[in-house]
Amino acid sequence: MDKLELAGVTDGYHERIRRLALFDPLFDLERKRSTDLNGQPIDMKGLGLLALLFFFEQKLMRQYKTGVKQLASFLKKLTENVYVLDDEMYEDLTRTIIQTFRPTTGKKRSYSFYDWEKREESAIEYSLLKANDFDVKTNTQYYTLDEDGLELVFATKEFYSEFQLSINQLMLRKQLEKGEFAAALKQINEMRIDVETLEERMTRLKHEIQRSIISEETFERYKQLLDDIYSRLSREDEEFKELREFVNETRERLYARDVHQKEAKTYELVLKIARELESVHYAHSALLDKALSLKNTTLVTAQESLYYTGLHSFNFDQDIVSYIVSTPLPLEAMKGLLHPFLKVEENQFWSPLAIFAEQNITEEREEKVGLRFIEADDAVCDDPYRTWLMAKYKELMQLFLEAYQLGRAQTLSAFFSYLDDIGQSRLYEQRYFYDFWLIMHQHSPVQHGDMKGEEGNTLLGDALALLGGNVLDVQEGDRIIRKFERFSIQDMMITVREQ
Amino acid sequence: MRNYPEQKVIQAFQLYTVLASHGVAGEQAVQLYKSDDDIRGLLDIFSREVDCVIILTSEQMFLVPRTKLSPFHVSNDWIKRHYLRSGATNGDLYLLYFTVLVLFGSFYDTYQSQEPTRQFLGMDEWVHLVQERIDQLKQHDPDELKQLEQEFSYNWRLIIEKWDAMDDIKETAKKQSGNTISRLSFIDTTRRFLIDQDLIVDIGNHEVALTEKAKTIVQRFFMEVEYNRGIFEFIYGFEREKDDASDQ
Repeated sequence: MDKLELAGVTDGYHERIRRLALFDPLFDLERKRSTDLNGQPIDMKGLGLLALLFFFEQKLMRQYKTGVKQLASFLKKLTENVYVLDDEMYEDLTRTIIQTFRPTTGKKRSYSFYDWEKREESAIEYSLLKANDFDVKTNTQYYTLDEDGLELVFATKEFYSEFQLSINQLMLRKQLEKGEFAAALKQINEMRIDVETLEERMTRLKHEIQRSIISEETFERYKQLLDDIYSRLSREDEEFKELREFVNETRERLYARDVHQKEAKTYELVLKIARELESVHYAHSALLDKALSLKNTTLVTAQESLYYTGLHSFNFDQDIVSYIVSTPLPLEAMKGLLHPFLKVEENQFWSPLAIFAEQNITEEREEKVGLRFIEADDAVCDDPYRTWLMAKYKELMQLFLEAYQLGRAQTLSAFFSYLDDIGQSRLYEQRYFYDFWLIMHQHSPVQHGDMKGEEGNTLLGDALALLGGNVLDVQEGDRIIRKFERFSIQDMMITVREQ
Repeated sequence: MRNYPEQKVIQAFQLYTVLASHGVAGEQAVQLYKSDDDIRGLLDIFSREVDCVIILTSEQMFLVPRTKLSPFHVSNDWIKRHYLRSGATNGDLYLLYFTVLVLFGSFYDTYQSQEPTRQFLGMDEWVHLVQERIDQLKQHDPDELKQLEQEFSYNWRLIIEKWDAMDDIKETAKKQSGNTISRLSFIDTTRRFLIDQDLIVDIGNHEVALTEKAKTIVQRFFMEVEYNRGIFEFIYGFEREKDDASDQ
């Protein structure tokens, strides 16, 4: 070792520091001196790592609604016997941890250092946790591990995320060989996360390439990167195919040995493995397609944008905001500067010809009121109008049955004259009289108890009870009855027969 | 000027109407623009006529108004009518512009990278950043500001007063949005304006993040040499006018 290869030693210094920097938030946590109610110090670093593992586990289980509450209850379950804390303190603790991983200012966490390879000051930005979703009603935010967070979780397991998928594939094979099927299933779930992470990374890469104005140098870098990704993906794809073959063989072997009868559970597990593997493989091949199209289309566009020349030093805050404020510029300058972000003004004009267009003549109401018969609503059972109506229907039915007994209600018109005779003409001057017959006709043949759940059950219940076991049959006649100026109704033939 | 076939003109116009109403068109439009010289030429002419430029990514195409005061761009009244409460003054409007500028500044505040330096911006942080800038404005000599006001539309005092007159939050109001007058509710108005313009997204917990559209515009328009020069000519142009005024 006479000549120490200096370049060789410092090679990839940036990346190495990056991996170290990821541990930073954990040490930040360690420096926070929290104690429980008994004054016992809390192992914040440990809880921080546990929180990361918790998010990882949630990701494995495809459980995306993970917020402060969930994490707090997890930590509580885990540490209940160790620390004495109340619920509020658990929540505070959880918030501290989440805020350490994801600073509330919105700035990414950054780590500055001296790059000994390039001999310059450098900084690394990373993000462990990101917002995933939110619930407007409760104003709860949900979180999930970001790419660097995953990297950190993996780093504590001794291998790097880049090779994660390949490693998982290897492990899966070993587990299948040994017959550890439950573990194999978990392995597949981990693979699914790998694929999802890859997908996210590719989408980000795509946006990055599209937005950035590219120089020859960065173009080469992106090209190299995409080539690498593509070749890695195709290698993994090969492996997937082999794995599928292998799982199938395992399944057949088990089948041949009649395991599906003796150990139904094991066999089921293998079937599940086969199925899950298939779905992960499917997602993975979609990625392969995506990588290919990324290579073909996006890079081409990027290449075209080589004709543009981009600025490498532009600082919106300094160059624009500060300039305006410190000079100061007229207010209009702000307007001009913001225009690029806005849409072109769009005005809607009203044409006089619109009056010939189809008109919407229905009244604007909260709810659309269609043409329909009166319907009963369970929610308004104690409505006085309803109670009144029920009594009236009952009265009508009673009168009708009396008339029918006398042979004076075989048709609706006969019933009208019967009412005239007994001096009850005011009845058919009422709206509900007509509603009653319309409902009867609509539901004909009617009998007691067959309109359950509809209006008959409640609104007409009392009236129909009078029918006893008989069936009321209503057929429309051919005349129109106009006994009262406000209403008219078609004549009806009415029969009451035994069931 | 070239003679274009009628069919191409119609086709280009259809595409233009889509751009004009949405500000963005999809992959097919991009393909057409790239492959057909006539369409590209026509679209470029159309957009130049309304003081806009067309910016492409491989999948989307944006119609971006250029940095200048143009009658074709959104007018103050239009924004007031659509986004501000009734009875809003020019002071409200310019304060809206101001808060938006501060927002973009907070995402792009480094010379080191073209990517945004933060992932999201909380509403409290936003109010705080606006306050910082307002404080800087206050450091100008008040007399000087007053003088500038008379000469030109430098009514910065209006903005400062507007901001100072508002409480951070209105404690009597239940919700910090809509019509209550407070800084947070004003920021909320700006937030709704930007969401409607598809520039930011709400990610919950009173935080917002930039959309892909906003990032594209910053990186492909503000950071593109040719347009960037236009932007600086625009803002330095104001300074020259000021110099001229003082020379006289």
